[in-house]
Amino acid sequence: MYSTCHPAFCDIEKLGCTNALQITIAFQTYIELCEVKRFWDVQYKYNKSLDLIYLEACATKSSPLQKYIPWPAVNAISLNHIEQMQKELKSERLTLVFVEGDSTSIYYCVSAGLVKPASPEQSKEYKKRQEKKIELESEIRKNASNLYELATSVESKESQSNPELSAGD
Amino acid sequence: MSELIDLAWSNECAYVWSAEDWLKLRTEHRIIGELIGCLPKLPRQEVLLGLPLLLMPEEVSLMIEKNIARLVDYPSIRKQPSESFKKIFQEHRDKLYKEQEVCLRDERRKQVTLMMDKIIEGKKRKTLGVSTSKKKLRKQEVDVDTHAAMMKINIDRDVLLNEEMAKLPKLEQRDALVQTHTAYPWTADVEVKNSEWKYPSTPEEVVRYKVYKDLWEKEFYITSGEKFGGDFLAYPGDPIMFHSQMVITCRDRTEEIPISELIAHSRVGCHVRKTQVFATLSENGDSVKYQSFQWSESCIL
Repeated sequence: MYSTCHPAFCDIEKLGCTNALQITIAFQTYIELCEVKRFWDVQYKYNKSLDLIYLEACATKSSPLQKYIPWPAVNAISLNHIEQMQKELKSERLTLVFVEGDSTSIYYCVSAGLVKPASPEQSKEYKKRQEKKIELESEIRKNASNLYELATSVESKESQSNPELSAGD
Repeated sequence: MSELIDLAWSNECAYVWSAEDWLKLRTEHRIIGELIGCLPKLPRQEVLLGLPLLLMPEEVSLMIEKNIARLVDYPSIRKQPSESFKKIFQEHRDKLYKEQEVCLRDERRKQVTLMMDKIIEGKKRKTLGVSTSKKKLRKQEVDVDTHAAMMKINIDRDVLLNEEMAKLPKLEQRDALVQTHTAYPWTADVEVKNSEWKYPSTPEEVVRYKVYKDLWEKEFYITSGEKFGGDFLAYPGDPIMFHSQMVITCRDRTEEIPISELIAHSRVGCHVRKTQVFATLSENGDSVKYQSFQWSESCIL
């Protein structure tokens, strides 16, 4: 079991949560936020009165801190409970992460009050940004072998000039 | 204080049968309802519908509460028409038929008078044996002699007019137009039934009604939300000009909502550029609380 020996898993386990399922999905969400979404300043927290592990992270380096609630998809949720979480965590806006048994996770943002959908202009702008990001990533992937070679050539040059460093590896 | 609008009550539903009332409700009070009738001029289609307007129970309760309308019943409509009433109806029909006959003669007289010059010219040509066909009439100008001869022929206009009018047959009863009534012309007995309107009565209905009222007071236009699997749709302006922005689903605050259902609702909303909103009452039941759900990965967000 990989998860059991991950230091973050041990840390999350020690937060005080008594529910094993909560601990597992909190860890899974933590790893996903760190490794898949590559969010900034990911932290796990525990709220005792809710007996809930939640996560805090920023989508980009400069974006505001968001709260993420890992929630097992097999458990139903009531509006009352959502309201309680908003009150306890002092945030009108929470992101619920529904984790399925097959480890699929779905992110839904829940905000108190009436929130209007984004205007066509806003979503167009957002789409454009996303497309640019995807394009850049595919460029990097395409050139991965070149980049790798470049990196190794630099490394070999360095090791030639500094043999002690390579010996230490 | 403007006059109350009458909502016709039948089979536990309320309808609006008057076009003026329909427009007033829509423009002044943001009450949309649903048109369910067939348009007399466009039958055999269901894209455009006409009166009557079927109202949602929430709309009826709101209008009664806000003193915009009253619920009325017309017991006479359910009764078999009496002999004297049949007579009134028949007299009304006969009157319309006679008026149409007069109208038809007037119209014909106008037409014939307008065409009189042409008719006279045609008559003259006929007596002289000149071609009367329309095509040739334009092409072939009459020569001077014939023109002079034509001028000599004298035709009495009035006699001709009477002759033409005599050709018009009497209007048959079966050819007469039948009036489509847009309002019932003989309502005599109106019974106000406001007190018998029992919506909302169950706890679910109370939530629905309070949510509807709260949204209405927030200046939204609200229609039924079945189209998108919710209870209501909230529009920022008249639905004829705006898309709805929110799909509202009413729930009891303690009800456990399965995640699959939550996702199904929210995902549909997100794909039609709407926010899925779950509405419930506050803990003391005084106010309405909303929770807006949006799919985080959506590019519409």
